[in-house]
Amino acid sequence: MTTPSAVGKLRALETTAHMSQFLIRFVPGVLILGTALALGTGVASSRLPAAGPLLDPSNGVWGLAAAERLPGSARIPGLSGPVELVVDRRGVPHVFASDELDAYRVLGWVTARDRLFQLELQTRAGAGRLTEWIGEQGLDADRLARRLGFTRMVERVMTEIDTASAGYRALEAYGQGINAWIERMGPAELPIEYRLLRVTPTPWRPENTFYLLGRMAITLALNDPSLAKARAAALVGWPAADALFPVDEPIQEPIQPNRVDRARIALAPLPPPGRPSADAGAVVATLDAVGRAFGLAERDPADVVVGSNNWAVRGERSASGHALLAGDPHLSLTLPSIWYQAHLVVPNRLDVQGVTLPGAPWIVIGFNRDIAWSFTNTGSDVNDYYRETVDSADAPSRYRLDDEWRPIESRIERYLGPGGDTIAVDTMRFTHRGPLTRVDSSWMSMAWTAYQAATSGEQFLAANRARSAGEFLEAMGDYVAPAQNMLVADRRGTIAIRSTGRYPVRPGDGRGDLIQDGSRSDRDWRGWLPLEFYPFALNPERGFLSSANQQPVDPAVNRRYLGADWPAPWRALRINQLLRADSAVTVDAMRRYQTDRTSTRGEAILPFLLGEGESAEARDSASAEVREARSLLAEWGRGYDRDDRRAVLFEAVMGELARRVWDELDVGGGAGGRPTRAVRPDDVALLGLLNDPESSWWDVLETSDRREGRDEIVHAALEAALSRTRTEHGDPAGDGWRWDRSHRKNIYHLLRLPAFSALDLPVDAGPSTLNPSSGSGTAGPSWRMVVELGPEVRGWAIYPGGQSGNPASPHYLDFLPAWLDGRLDSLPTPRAAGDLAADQVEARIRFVADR
Amino acid sequence: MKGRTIGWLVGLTIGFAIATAVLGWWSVPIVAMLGTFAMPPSLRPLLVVPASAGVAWLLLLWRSAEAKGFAALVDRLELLLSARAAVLYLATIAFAMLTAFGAALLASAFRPMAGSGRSRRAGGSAADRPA
Repeated sequence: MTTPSAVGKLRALETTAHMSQFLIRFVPGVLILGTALALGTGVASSRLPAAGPLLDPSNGVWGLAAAERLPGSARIPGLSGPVELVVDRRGVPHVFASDELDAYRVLGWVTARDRLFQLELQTRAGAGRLTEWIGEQGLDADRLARRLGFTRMVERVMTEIDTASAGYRALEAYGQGINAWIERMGPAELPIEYRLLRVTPTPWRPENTFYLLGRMAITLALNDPSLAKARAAALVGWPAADALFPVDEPIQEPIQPNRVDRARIALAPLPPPGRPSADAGAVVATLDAVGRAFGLAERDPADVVVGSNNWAVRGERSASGHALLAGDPHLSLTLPSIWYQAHLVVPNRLDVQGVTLPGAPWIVIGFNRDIAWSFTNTGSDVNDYYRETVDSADAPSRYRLDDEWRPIESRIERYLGPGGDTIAVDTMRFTHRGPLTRVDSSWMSMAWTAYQAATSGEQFLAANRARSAGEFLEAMGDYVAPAQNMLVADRRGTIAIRSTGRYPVRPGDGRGDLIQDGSRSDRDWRGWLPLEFYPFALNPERGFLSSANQQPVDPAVNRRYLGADWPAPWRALRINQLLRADSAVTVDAMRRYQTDRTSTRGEAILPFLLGEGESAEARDSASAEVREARSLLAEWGRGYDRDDRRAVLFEAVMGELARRVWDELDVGGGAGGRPTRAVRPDDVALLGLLNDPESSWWDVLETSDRREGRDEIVHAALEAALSRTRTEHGDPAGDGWRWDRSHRKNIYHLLRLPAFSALDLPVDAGPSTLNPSSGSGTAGPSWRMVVELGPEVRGWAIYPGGQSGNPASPHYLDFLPAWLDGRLDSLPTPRAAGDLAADQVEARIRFVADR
Repeated sequence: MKGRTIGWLVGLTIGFAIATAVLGWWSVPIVAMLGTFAMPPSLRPLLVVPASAGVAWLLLLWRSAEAKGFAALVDRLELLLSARAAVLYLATIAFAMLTAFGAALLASAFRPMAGSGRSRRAGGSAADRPA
């Protein structure tokens, strides 16, 4: 029997035991579960991705491979009727709709399914909204994007745009498709990049397309020919600088065929290096600061392969008797690719295929049932700087124009962090010309044709429907920027090319490579060059047309200033060399020409390295090393095949030669106290110099006690290059000298994650060849296409990468082997959904309107 | 292992698998808590619940591995996360088990408080204690 007090004690003991038992489980339970949840949600570390959504075996990254399966049907709001989507074995969508807007809706849906992260990343980059994803790390890039004034321009366009226009309605429909995918996609279908960045997709808006086009304009139409020349002038004076960086290319193989229909070579002796120009130093400082302010940071010229090739032959020069067209735009190569292939069919209205830019609903380069077209970048000078007179050096509110003060438009730009907090605020200023920025103690504004470029794509939509070369050119007539050499061929056999884009008409001599006085309205652009004055050619007698970013018009034919930053015409020379020699061009020949690796640069320079033209005395004085280097170079076939064992020596000699010849352009400050080159002229200037053996440019600054000449420097370069190549690559007969051991392609993922990139790829390509590759190998042919314009138009194409942006997809990299080997895939051209054989089809999806 | 324990193991495995596939990873602690509350303490929920979660995620992983691009995915994840595939698989299963165990432990702390009399009658065993 227990007393009441004993019962109380027992209860107290029991309660204590329960409490102990509770705490023994509660505290570790909270700690363990808390740790698991912190890891799962990503609260544990801002650097690590959230483990829960990452590791979830159904909806996390493990599910990405399974997420590639397509549904049998899908819904999109606004569809006016059913639409069939057939995805072929290459992952390319063929959209069959009875209404054009429905076709764009489904194109938006399928593009989002394959490329959602890319869609959002590139428009965020264009809009300067990366900080909302990655915080402070994105601030510099965002500031640059906004400083260029695209946010302001897009806002203005969106208030002024005709929302009933066909172009705007297409953008809207495309966005509806993207948003339908975003709303309906399962958690497993969320692209891995969102999980790694710990962000979620945001709905698509029509203005995103304008940001995308703005990004393209920055890449292709924002160049400054003044800076290189001014840098050279700051070291060797203006006369030498003008000759090193001429407005007109000394070797003319223009896009618009000239009278002689062959290369016109006008290599003049270079003026000797002169005294540094003091005013050039000031110009360089200003342009450097402007470049930094507007984000035009200089890239390694070797990595700038933002060029392209296109050419077309008339039926009389093709084996089949039909016109042929080839195009391969050279751009930065990324995974996923800048391009997304698609085919849109709307009976009696539209039947077009080719590549789209993810984010825009039209085919940029491609073909329909009647025509084919491709672009190369014109690279014209379409931006100018103005030094403005302002009312306050620190916070100007007005600028002087002629005799009056004009108000400066200002706007506040806020940069938000991932949590929606403001992490930075900038005041952006604008004159009537464009954005105004502070450069040291002065203020500079920039005029640029791209600010006029925000149309809703009507030109492209009409071009996609064009039935002839003439209709295509008419459709693209008011295209603004970036200016493109637009090549078109049609089934009737017409071939034509026009360098299309808005060119400013400048006052005075029309030159745009100088800083203008902003206080004078007479320095403003006077208007736009009329279309009839654009570089143009139609059905030339020679039977072919081509472009490779060279100067469009031979200045001997017309001296109108279009720019001053033309690349050396090595590729143009090679295309025309091949086409002139081939009077029965086939589709396969077009493909081989696209991947041609013979170097006209090598052909032009090699004879000098081999000693042709040297005096007998110089030849006799050559050392054993020089003779060996010459013997090895003589074995070079002027090509950059991946297994070539002599191209590596040629490139080493070119490097050694440039180092010795252009030493007047060196400045201090390089790594280890070595000089760095302020600027480097192209190899056409070197070729001119090789023809001038006594030029004072051959003299090496370091050896003040004697004066070197061409032969001595060539010998020294050969010796040094042979020694270096042996040291770096071993015996000349060994595999170490293979071209693919010293140069490879690198295609990086958009976030530069090596795991999702394709790196160290051997290629048959070299500097300035038709299939180009140089520098770090991160740029090159982003899309290769050949089209035969017979009774049934047929197309072949390839691009590096694959249709899907999902690294787990079989279509992430499936085009790459063919691209590396220079092969093209035959493109099916079904007229109806049932035309594709079952073995060509990966999936069929029927789209119906959302309830 | 007794038949009832196996039954609970199978049932919970199905529960974890369906909940994860339909709702996502965050359903694991919820199912673990509910399972722990519902399961008789004598059947060792602190062992059975995390084991079920691990088996469920293993099965889901197996199902995902049947997809065409899974091998390529694993290669890329190995590079991305600088870890071998086996480590990634183990991390996945371990994460499910850790989450389920933490939730089960927390749930078990409340069970005797909620019904101490019933708990006494059932006779909590030593195996029901935290590991």
